[in-house]
Amino acid sequence: MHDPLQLVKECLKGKPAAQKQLYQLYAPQMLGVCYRYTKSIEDAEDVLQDGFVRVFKFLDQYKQEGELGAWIRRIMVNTALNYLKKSKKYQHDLLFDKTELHVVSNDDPAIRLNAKELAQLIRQLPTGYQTIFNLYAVEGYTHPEIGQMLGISEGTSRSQYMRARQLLISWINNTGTKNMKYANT
Amino acid sequence: MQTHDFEKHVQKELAEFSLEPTDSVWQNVELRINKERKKRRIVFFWLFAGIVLLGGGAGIFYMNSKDNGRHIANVERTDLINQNETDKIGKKVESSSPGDAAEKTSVVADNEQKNNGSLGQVKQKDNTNKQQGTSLQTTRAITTQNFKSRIKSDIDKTGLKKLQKSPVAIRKAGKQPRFIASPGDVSTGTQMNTSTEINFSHELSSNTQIETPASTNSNEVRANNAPEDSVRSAVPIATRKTTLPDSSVATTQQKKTSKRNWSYGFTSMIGVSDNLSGFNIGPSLAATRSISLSSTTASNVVPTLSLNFRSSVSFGLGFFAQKDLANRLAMEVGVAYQYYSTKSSIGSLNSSGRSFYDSTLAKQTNVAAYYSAGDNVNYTNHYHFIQLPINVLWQLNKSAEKPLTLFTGVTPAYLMGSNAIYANYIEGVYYQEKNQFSRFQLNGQLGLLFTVKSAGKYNLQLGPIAQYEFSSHTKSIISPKQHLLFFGLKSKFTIK
Repeated sequence: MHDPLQLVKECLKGKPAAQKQLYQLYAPQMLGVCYRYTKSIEDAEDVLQDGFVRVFKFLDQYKQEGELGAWIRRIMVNTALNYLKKSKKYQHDLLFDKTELHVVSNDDPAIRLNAKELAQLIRQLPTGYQTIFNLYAVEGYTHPEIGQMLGISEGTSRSQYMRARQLLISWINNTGTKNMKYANT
Repeated sequence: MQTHDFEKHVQKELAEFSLEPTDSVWQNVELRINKERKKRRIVFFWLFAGIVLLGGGAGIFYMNSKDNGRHIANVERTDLINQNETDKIGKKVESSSPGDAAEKTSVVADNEQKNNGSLGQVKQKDNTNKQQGTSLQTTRAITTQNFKSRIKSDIDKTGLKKLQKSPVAIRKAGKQPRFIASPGDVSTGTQMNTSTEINFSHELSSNTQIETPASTNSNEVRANNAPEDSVRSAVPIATRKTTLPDSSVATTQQKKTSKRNWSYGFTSMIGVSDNLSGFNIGPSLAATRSISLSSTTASNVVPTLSLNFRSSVSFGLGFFAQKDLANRLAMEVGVAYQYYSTKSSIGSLNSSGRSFYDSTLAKQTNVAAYYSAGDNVNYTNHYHFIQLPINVLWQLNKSAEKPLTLFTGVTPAYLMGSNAIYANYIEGVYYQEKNQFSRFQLNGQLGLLFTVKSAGKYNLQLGPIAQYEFSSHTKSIISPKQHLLFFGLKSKFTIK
């Protein structure tokens, strides 16, 4: 059993074994985060790699007040956003004004998907929607915070989220897979 | 509320969502962490080196100043001693009354050069019961200020020897020159049976003896072997068995001070530079400098991707400060700009923007243009460095007019910019990659300097120089290592 705080102390001393332990402790969970923000597992691993480099670089700034996992998660999210902004592959999709609008049902489904299926559906959203949906629905950021993070207005964030949500629900409802069946409530 | 249920459910489902990353992720993370650590160490190293350099420079400067200060302090201390002693004598003489035991102070000018250039030893002898009733006339022949300024001005203009040739009259206005002494072979005695012996050397080379204050209440002294009315020189020293600082030491100090001066100037270099892989010079060089991999387009007709370098022009400009450490040894520090260039043969230019992933650097690069595999384009790689050369110079010959100097040293350098081409062997293309560089470098240099022209304070030297980049200017993960080599001519213009 690893004590995260002890691991942090060891990592700050520059011990490679501790660094590896810290990585092994959080990498799977963080890859799940990165996976939701990107379109391919390779991109997700790139983000994970960049993110952990930043984690070790700025580990001395960790105040040990909150949970270490949450701190690393925030770094991963920021790294993913930077990656999306810098990568040409994603840059175009992040232009929120140009995102095509889809008319979808307003119904809220009762979700019967498992985590991976849900994550895969989220990844199929246009990158802008995907990002805002992840930030709001999963990470729990507010719209003003999202607006600040992405350089868009609070209203844009809100409307984009609603569209993303509707699109996602529409997909879930229209999916014929047995595990992706949703009932209107 | 349904809306919140949806978000809550999504959050709950995805909270524990995890995936197992591949092993390569940790390997790359570890590699990059080590690189960061190494980079930090390099920064600390340069910081430390800079502090040591600054400290050393400040130390040398301080020591230099201290030597001068000590010299001045010696002079001042001697002044005080002489003044005190002279005052005592003056008081003694003044207090002497007829009938008392006469005090005789003899000043013997001794021109025996026991120590060449040494300061004359001043002796004072008390001869009692010899003469009484001597009228004492204390002559303040010249004020200290006047004397000092006079002597100093003589020294400044002509040096000490001239001082001996041009006697200084010391007299008080309206009085006969009764205090007369010459720095030559002169024995002076007093009319009042007070004789003072002053040993002077011919080579009054130290300021210490020159600046002996004249503000003393000197006894009336006349040179025995000099005409009474001839005013040759006056040195109002009347010290009692005071051994002044050894002028040989003072002279040496002065010589050292004069020799160990700073000089400044400009340097320029021109020649050719090349990009080598380690110290492998000769036939093996081409092989080690060439990497060949097939393009990933997986076609037999696709040309081989290789990165090779050929020599091209290089030049540098800078300025320096030089400190003499010994007769034929000096140290030089400076700042210089150095331009290197090499040529590479690569394929055709494709101006369309693209994004390439490079597994060596483990990064995605967006490029505005790239070059395909091939060798039909001659590409010039430019490198711009700012350098801090630190050299030790050793004069091989003994000629002061035409010194021949061997120099060697190290040069910390920073790569300010470069357009050097980078080979992405996975993608099979070349492009400019800023992230391939390791910015901080350490070079070593060796060269000879012949004096071409020397006129007064100015000196122009010219000679061959070779400079080699010990550290690779590409990152350690890039193989093979790349080291720049410069060979050319260096010119050095020195202002002493």
